[in-house]
Amino acid sequence: MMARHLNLFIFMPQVFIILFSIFTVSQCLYEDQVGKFDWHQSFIGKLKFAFGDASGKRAIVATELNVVAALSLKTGNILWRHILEKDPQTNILFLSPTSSGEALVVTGGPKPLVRAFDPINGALAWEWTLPSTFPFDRILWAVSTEKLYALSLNEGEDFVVQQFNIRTGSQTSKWKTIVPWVHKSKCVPSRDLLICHSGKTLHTIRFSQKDAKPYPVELGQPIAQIESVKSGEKAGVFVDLSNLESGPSSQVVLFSDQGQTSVKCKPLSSPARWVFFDSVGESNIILQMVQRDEKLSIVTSDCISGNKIEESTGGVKYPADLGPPHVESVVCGSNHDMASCRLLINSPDQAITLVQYSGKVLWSREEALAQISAVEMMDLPVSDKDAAIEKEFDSKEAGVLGMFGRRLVSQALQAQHLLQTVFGLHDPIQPAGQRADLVRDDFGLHKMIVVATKAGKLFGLDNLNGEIIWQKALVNVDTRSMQLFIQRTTRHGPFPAQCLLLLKDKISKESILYTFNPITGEGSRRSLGYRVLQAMPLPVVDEESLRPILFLDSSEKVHIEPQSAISLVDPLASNTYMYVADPVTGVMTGYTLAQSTSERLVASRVWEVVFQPETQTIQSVVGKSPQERVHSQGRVLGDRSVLYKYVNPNLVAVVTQGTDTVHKYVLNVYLLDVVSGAIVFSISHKRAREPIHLVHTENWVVYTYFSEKWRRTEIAAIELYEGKTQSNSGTFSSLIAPVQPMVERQSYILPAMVQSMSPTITEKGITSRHILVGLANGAVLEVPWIFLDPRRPVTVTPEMREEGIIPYMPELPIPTESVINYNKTLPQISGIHTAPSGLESTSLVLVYGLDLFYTRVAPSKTFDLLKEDFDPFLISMVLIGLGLASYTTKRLASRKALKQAWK
Amino acid sequence: MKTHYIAVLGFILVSFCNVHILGDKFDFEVDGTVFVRLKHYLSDDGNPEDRGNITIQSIRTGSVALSHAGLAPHHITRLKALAKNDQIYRLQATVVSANNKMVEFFTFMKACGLVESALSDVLTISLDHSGSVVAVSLSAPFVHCQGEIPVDHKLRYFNTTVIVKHMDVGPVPDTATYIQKMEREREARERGDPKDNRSFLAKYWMYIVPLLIFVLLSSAGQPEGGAGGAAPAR
Repeated sequence: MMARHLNLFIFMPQVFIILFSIFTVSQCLYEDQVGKFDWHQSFIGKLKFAFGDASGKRAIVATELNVVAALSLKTGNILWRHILEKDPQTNILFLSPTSSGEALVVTGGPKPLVRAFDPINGALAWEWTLPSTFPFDRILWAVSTEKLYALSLNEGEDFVVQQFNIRTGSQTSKWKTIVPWVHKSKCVPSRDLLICHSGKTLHTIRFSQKDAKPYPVELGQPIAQIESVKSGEKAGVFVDLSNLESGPSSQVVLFSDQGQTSVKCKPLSSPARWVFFDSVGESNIILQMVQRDEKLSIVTSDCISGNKIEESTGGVKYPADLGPPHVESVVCGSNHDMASCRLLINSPDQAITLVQYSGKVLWSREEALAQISAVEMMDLPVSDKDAAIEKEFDSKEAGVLGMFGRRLVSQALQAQHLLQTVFGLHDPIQPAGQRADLVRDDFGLHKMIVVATKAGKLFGLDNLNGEIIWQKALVNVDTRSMQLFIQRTTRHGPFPAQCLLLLKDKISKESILYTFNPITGEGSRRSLGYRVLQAMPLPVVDEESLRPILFLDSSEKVHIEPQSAISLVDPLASNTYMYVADPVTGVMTGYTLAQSTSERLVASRVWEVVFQPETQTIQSVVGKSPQERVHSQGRVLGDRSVLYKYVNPNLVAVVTQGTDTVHKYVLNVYLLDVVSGAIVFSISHKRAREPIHLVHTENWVVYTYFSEKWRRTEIAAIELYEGKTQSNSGTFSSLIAPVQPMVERQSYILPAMVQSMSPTITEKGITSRHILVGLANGAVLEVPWIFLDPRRPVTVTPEMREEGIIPYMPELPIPTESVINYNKTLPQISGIHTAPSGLESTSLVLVYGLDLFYTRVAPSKTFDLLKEDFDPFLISMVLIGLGLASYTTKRLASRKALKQAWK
Repeated sequence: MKTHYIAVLGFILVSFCNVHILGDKFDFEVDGTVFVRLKHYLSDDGNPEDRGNITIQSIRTGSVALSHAGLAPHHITRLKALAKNDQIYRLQATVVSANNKMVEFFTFMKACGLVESALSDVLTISLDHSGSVVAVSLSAPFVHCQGEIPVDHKLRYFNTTVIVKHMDVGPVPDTATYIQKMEREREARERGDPKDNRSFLAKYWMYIVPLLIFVLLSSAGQPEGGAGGAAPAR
């Protein structure tokens, strides 16, 4: 046994090296460190369907992101969660409780399924398939007594009812009813009735019965919209009436079982949301949510008389411009006491709130965080004490005496602070409107995560625990393209930090700027009046330390924000270039600002590159992170010579997916210099297709793709070098005598599906860089760059071994120690954001997708931090002890020497 | 106007030299010819002037025919003015591919770079996987814009190097070589390491004997110490 081990190590040095590198490079986590640096939050996405289960303890929900989950009504936590197929065509069409209490879910798409889940533990009770030929966009679903009904509506002609056994899926019967008034958008099912509207009339028909007769109900006013009543004793609809004279009003109409008789409630001024049946008074009670200023109050009234029964005393805080909330479900206790009822409210900003009948908010979930589109991590402002020290060095015009005086004052302040801390009199004095704990720490590990979501809602999260510090919902915005810029960081004295969010108006499609303070979330919105094609922060700051941002609009005009900064551009204009890529036409255009004057900025077209749409389409354009720094200009080889890196800051990687008659899919990667418009390097992979994820930093590009030929994910790395000499060490110019880089390339097999990829980033770029790969199985893998190094040779020479290159292995290992989210599976990862901390060794990571996961990684280990078990007390005691011992022994020795001298 | 100058001066230069192909040769299914018409701008505003034509006779081999019109004296003056003001020299390239499809490309370089090198420039034509042109880009080969403008007669003819750049072939995980290497290593191990059938003791006696001696020696000292330690307790 022992001998075999020896043999392994002697004859397979590469195994040893690889094992060694895995153990040295990867960051394993001890059990007691779980949750110490990281946190994990689970979300479900925008609510689509919901109902309260029979016990009144949980709500079963289905969402736009194909999630079925149970929420605890007590805390709002997720009790169980199932993530259904992530196919873009698959969506949840229907959710309903069955008569035996299970949650029935119908999903459409290429493989339509009907599933039932146990509400308590989420176990799958049964599952059956629907025919995929179903016209899902024309179908209304209904559940009634162990039967599932699929009502396919043929616009203006008839509807076909298909009845399925809810458990087995066998089709029990099918019939057709000819009625001319059916339209998918104008019909709703309620209990056993199909209710449609046309003009001023409501039509009802019992769909669960063959040859049922339709009944019309005249309302006397044109109907705008109807919504099904899901509660109470009877079938019915909430009707929104549109009347040109008296304005919009609303009414509730209830029907008997067959639909032949109806009860019209008194018209209401604001729409009704829910119907209760009062068994004592044999009356129907209608619930409304009335908005007054910034508050929502709950009003109940009697159906027939319209008399107000009760109005909640408290109110739910609700922004006036957000749009009406939707009551998804009302869950009442077992005793029919209205006061115990709780309302599950879904608001347009994707928040789910549970409100007590009295108007008290029990809990709230911010589901907008399940779809994040832009992230930045901001430093927190310094505490007052530190600000005073900084102020001391700030003003340079004060004379020597003035400076001395200021120093004395600030030191007195520090002494006072120290004394207060020592004697426990600490009285935290904080800037107004700010929390005491939101100050910068010594190592810059405490930050504010600023998040912009697809729902148009912005959040400020504390990076230590994920707590929401502030939130702001933007309404009427198109969030498909969002860009977040930092205009001013927190390091600029009296000025607060400032961020800028660029997005589009929903109606006019013109760009909107939302300028805000990332620490408090306060900001202002401004419409620009043009459509921004490209935005670029300038490398200078104005006198208020604000970084100006250039905008190129759709008519090729250049604007600057703030406009006062135009004078700053003038000296830079001749060296400022911008580029725009149009994925539809495949044209990339470069502009120069050289023709600008000090009053007006002019962009003139200087280069144009065309990726012809007949042969290829642009998938993504990836530039380098403006935050990144390259510490080392070269790489020391085994023979002690230096291979200089080709570090071109103007280089972007353009990924195109080409079509080809022979190879079907072709993946092209172009490295384009966006100043000169020259293609520095281009590479083509045959039979490779999306998903393509690309990372572009320093002098290398790493990308993953799916190899159609071998049916596996491959990861390719390209590294650019200038060679053994450096052409221009001081400044880099894309225009004057450009160098053609040497290109190293290699590809590896990655035995997993990739969903997102991002490099780690540190403050000075000294720490080696790792690549974080979000996998489809919910793991985030930390891959060291040395594993992807294109210079990994098949046969290792001694020089290469000295350089520390690992021998080539075609397949990359996925060691479990390298999974940074250990056992916390992250479904549907859509992005990974990394940010530098104040410590050079540490990079902060936020993984987003359906869930949020925050942690920190140290690619070269925490070389600038003491170990956690480092005991300064013990060390100082040992030092003092040793010092004392040496002092006493010295005294003893001298006494001995003296005695001996006397002898 | 433009044709007039060409006719009068008669400076039409056809060259087949200065052609390079870069990159691993990308294997195109069909060979083709590409025709490029070049026009340049000799001032910031105004219309482009004809500069010449390039015919890529074969996109596979990258053989190129180049014909250039020379510069008229007043063109030289305008070009020198561009260089003096550190402005850019822009070039419009109209590419006509085999199926008569016209695509326009723009490129530019610093005018001083062009003038100071006596009109030598590098024109790179990048092709994509199907052989169609993706970019035409102009660059200065070696000049650093120091303000030394050569005499006019050196600025009459372009000295253009045309580079036809193919795409590189993407790397594929090299499993075959790796497996071969593993095979070789296994064979070498089998050949170089005949099975050692000696017993455990026979193989490692040189480690076991010193260990035994050490254990014996240290235990030999122990009884005395033990006895000595035990004595005072009695």
